[in-house]
Amino acid sequence: MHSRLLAPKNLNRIGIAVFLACTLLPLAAGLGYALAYSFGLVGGLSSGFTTMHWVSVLAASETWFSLLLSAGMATAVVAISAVLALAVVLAWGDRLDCGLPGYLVYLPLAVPPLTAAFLTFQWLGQSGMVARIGVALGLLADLEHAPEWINDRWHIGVAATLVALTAPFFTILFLQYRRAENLPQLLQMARTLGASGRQAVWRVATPVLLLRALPNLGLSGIFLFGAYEAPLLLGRQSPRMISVLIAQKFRKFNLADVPQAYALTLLYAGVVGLAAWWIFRRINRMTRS
Amino acid sequence: MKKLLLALFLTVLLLPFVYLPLLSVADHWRYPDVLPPVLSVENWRLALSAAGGIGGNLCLSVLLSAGVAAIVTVGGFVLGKIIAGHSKRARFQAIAYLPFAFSPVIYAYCLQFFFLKADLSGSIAGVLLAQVLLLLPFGILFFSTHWDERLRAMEQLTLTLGGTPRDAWRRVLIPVSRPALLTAFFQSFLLSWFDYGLTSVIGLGQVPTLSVMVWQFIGEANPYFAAIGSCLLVFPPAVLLFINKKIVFRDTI
Amino acid sequence: MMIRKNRYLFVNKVPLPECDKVELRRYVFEFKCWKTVMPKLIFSLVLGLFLLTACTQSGNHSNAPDPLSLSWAELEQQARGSTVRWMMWQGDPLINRYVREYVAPEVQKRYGIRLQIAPGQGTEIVKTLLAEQEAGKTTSALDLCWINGETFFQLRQIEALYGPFAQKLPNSQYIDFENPFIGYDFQQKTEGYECPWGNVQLAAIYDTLRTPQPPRTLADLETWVRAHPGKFTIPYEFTGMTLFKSWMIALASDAHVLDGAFDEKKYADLSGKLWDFINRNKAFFWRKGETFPESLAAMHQMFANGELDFTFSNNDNEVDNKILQGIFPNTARAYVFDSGTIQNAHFIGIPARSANKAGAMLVANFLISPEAQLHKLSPAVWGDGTVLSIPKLPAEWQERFRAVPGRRYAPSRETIQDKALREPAPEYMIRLYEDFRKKVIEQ
Repeated sequence: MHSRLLAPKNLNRIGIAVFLACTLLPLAAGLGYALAYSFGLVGGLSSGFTTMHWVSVLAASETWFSLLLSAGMATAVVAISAVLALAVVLAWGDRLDCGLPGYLVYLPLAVPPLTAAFLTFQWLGQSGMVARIGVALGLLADLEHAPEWINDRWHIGVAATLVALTAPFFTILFLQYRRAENLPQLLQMARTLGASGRQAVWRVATPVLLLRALPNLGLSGIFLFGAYEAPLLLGRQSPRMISVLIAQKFRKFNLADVPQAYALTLLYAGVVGLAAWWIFRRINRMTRS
Repeated sequence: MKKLLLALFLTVLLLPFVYLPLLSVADHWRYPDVLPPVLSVENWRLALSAAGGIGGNLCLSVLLSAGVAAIVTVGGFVLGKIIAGHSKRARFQAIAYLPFAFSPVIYAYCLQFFFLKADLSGSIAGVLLAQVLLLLPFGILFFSTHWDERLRAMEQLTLTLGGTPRDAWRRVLIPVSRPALLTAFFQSFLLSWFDYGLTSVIGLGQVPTLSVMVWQFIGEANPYFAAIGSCLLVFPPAVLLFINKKIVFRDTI
Repeated sequence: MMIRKNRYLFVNKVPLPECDKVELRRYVFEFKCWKTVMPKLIFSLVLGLFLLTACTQSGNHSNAPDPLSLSWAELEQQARGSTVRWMMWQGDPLINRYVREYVAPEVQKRYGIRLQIAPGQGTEIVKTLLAEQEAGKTTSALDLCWINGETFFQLRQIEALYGPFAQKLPNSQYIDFENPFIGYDFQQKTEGYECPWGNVQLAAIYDTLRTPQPPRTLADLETWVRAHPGKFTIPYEFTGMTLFKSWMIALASDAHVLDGAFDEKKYADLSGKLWDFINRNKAFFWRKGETFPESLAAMHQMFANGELDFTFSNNDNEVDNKILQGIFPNTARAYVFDSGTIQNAHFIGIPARSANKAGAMLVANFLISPEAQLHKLSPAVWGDGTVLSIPKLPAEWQERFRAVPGRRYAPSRETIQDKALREPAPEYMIRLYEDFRKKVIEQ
């Protein structure tokens, strides 16, 4: 009996069951509950089935601005970070591969989003370190002339923090690919075959690194889409990124907002699910080819 | 010029690790002072004193994250093998991406009801379970690429040469996978170490990990305490990285 | 040119640069170490987690008899050695220190009660308790919560509060429940479902160096804001909404206009005037009034750094403790607008499903003891106004309360008491939160 239970086939089945119980089950249960709540079927203050909450979520311009802002932010941050990381790796790839610089590149991974947001607040705030240094050096007349980077219209503080968190990750990724793909040799080869320096960078290095990193860039985009800590601390009230909007609906004043928060959660889950599915299909296609 | 730029770039990387300790020993540091007018260890003393209890938060964070990382690593290793060898491998991997891609704080709100039902919210066990649920897919994804043809061939070879499955695990698979196991452990440790959203929602504020405390200090407009918390949050992983950067990071896909 | 292939060492088909060879040797060494360390590490980990989990399990009895049916001595007996979980706003280091370093050790010493603090305020408390009800939990994760006004209103709506317990507390004999600023919460009779803990009045804080003559009326404020663009804003949280209520009353020029139950017509009229006032001036606010700070903490920091010329506090005494902490310059002062500001009490409530109501009552009783109230009154500790009625206290305590070191930077209570306005009904607060967003931020 005991040995039959532990037969490889059964072990696999148990394993798959555990896997599904840890991934699909909680997610499905959570989203199911959210669905029921958003339609007023459950919840302490519900009074039966209603589409009211969905209507108010879908009709609110806030919802769409928020999704748009999150998508825009994710795209911009991924693009800027990729460009920065690429530039760093192509310029200093050799030096960053070992020694002290090789360690320093890894350092930003030790900074969590929370601390990064706090640092941005301390440095880029209107009376922050950057402004103080500016005033001390005589570049700024006074604090009134300091640029607005926190809670600002263009979400510069949020973007800067997210780039600071994402770019180092990309840099390390590119460094690894550079090694795995034998990039220095490839570049040498290209040069001996007569390519100019610029051609070697644009036609060889960039495509090799970017193509291989594409799935990872996509995934980072999905994480950034749901970024929470940095926009919570550094963003403004309207519009706000989707995670912050949902969390506020869960936490802020009107109890009647909770079903709307669940409806928004489902909307967010839909977007993330679609994006993940699309990225995963790409990965599959790439690994096959 | 290139060298100068590189030096500048590396300095920027170091900045948080200089600024945070400085801020943590500063006092009365207001605009327009570029450097703190007063330095004192008073804030550290207050933070570490028994009643302030940031030391307790540190302990809790270390234990919780190590526990989560251990479960995620072992679970991911075993389940990753099963998934990697399964005929529906691609579909399972896609499923594993879903919770992993979800914003932790929103995932937490979706799960809160069930954790309350199971009497798990507001407890360390509950936060541990929630973090495992969030990070196990990460472990599985990590190891499903680790279990490649070569590793399976090794296992087969051991069995063909007369080894028992136990031997295969003990003498071949685990030793060969040790770097990957360590990487997975450190990466999941970091993810758990940094988590704020999930811990605060499932823990109902009663599981005061370091991230939760740092968040609170930031909310108090007490930058000096926030800096102390941040130091404690940032330096342990930095030291781990120093010990071995290669172990801490590996491409997950 | 030759390709310097020999510089690379191939591992798993992945070439590693020269310098990694050294690291490779280190790996091997470390793995050997890990092999011996790992089992011990895992063992201590499991043990540690087990101990931690065991520690958080409180020895509370959920099926204990209702404390209201017990004598105080029996209640003390029942609560001894239990854990009380308290959810409170933790946005101020001095308040946190008062609770962590004074209240917690004292209740531990006196009653053997372990006080566990969890951060959370207002709706977070409501939503935590509501979520517990939804999940059908019979015992709550909370035993005590720090609430007032609209939170009390919402908790009463979902019947999540326990009571009437306030009058059962022996120290409540020193409280004057007829005092409208203490016995009532946002015009609601508390009926013993919460116990007053402190009493404060909203005050504006400014720096005498930067603003020698602060505006004292709304009209003055308008002139001032227009003359100093970017230096004024309103926090989008509890204090800001309380400020709005004071201004609504000012706009009506009748201190009692909002007394009584919520009046939709009055609200529409006065809030209309208020939004009009803000919208016509907000272009001169900080960030052109497009966004507002969401935490008072952030606002205090901006004030301290000179980014803002005003900040606000729900506690008239806060300027003293912020100067003592070195956060505000010692040229900062607090004042109250001529038209007055809201004065209110804040309260302690016990969730209806608390597993340790007896312990919670014991802690609440300590919080309103003359000793704890006196300690809290000192600006160096917290500077929170007492809810005790001094004439009701024993003579020795009366003297000690009168001898409390005075405020140095905040106005004295006597000078602002006649400018104290009563809190309007809670619906005003809830509506202001919503409408400020809709009619100001999103405009």
